[in-house]
Amino acid sequence: MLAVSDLTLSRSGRCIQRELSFSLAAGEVMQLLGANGAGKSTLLHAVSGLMEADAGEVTWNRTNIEHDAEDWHRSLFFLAHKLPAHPVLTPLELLRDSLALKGLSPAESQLEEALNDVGLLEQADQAAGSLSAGQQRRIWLARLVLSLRLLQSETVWLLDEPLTSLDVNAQAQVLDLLTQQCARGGMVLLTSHQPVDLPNLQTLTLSLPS
Amino acid sequence: MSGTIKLLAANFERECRIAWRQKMDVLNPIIFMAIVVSLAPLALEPSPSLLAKVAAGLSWIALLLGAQLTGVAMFADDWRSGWLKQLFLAPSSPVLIVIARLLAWWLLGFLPLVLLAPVAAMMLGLPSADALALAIALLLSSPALLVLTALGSALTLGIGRAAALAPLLVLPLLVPLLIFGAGIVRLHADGLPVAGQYWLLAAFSMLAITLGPIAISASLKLHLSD
Repeated sequence: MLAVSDLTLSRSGRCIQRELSFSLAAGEVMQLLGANGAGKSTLLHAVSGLMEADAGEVTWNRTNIEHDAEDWHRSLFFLAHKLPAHPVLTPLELLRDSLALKGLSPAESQLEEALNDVGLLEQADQAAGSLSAGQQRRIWLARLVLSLRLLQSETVWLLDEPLTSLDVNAQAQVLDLLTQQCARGGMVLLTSHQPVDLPNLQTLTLSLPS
Repeated sequence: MSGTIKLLAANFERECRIAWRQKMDVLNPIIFMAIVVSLAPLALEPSPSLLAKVAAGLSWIALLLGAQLTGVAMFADDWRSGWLKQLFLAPSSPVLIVIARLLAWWLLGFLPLVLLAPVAAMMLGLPSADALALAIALLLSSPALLVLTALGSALTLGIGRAAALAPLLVLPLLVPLLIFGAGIVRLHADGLPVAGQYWLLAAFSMLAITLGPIAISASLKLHLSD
């Protein structure tokens, strides 16, 4: 279980969230709502551990994430709003590098299969910098596909605006991936300005006061 | 243990792959050094005795500045794209990843300069025995040079004009290396023993290698939330 207790956050010296608490259990999806600048992305960064909170703590399976960072990082996949794609690397390489960070060296065919699933097989060897915004985001959809297939340990997905710049089909695919993540006992914390309607699954929402 | 080596290898391979695709980044400092050395005889009095005297110092300066040219961007691309966040969320120590990057940059960005600087000095008329002393001095100081440049790059991430600021931060710290490193050649030319100076440079580098990666990863950590 992921629990956030009494988290106080500030950005550029300005307090944006005070004593925020919530928790997320296996099989749950939570959508963060709030106006622009309410601190949704900042909260995701704080939950991931990339940003230090002013007060409060984030616990994963009752352990503070800073005390057992290795276990937390093994369980976590965080996709920030800005996609971590080096412009000269290809989708295939980005996926391989991303999985290598988790200690995995999958076969080329597994990566290609994932890219095929998101309709990016033809662009597998093109530099990411030459792809459109939507295509670049599809690379990371393929990463989510691979998370489901190869990384049983990745139970927590933190996704910042996973639906932006995607077409209708790809958006439906994201929702499908979220459903699969919950079905395997995972959990998702995401931000989106669009409604996230999953079949047979209640999406929890958390409104951040601005 | 094998996981650690695999992670090091994967990150090292990624750096080399990116460098191969952006060859100009690797070639720029080399071209810079070649230009400095070939302009020197035009600007100075073109007498062989004078050029031989300034050759070692000039090569040192060309190397220091040339290394800053691309060194300031060591972490900039990955910070801008957000890959740095992925690196810090990997289930292993970020220090390891910093070490992999330092190794790749030493090999691709610093070693060519270290090998070329003595050749450049010889072109200006430095005797080959002294050039060998210069090469050893450069090789011994290159790890310290690399770590300090990387630290400058890590500290100035996110500052708009980092390209100008990082060298200002780093160059004063490199002054001891320059003094002892260039001094070696003078001592050697005068027939004095230089072993002490070599050890000193090696000590600088050992200190940089042991503490540097920790300091670099700590300063990178400051820039992960933006």
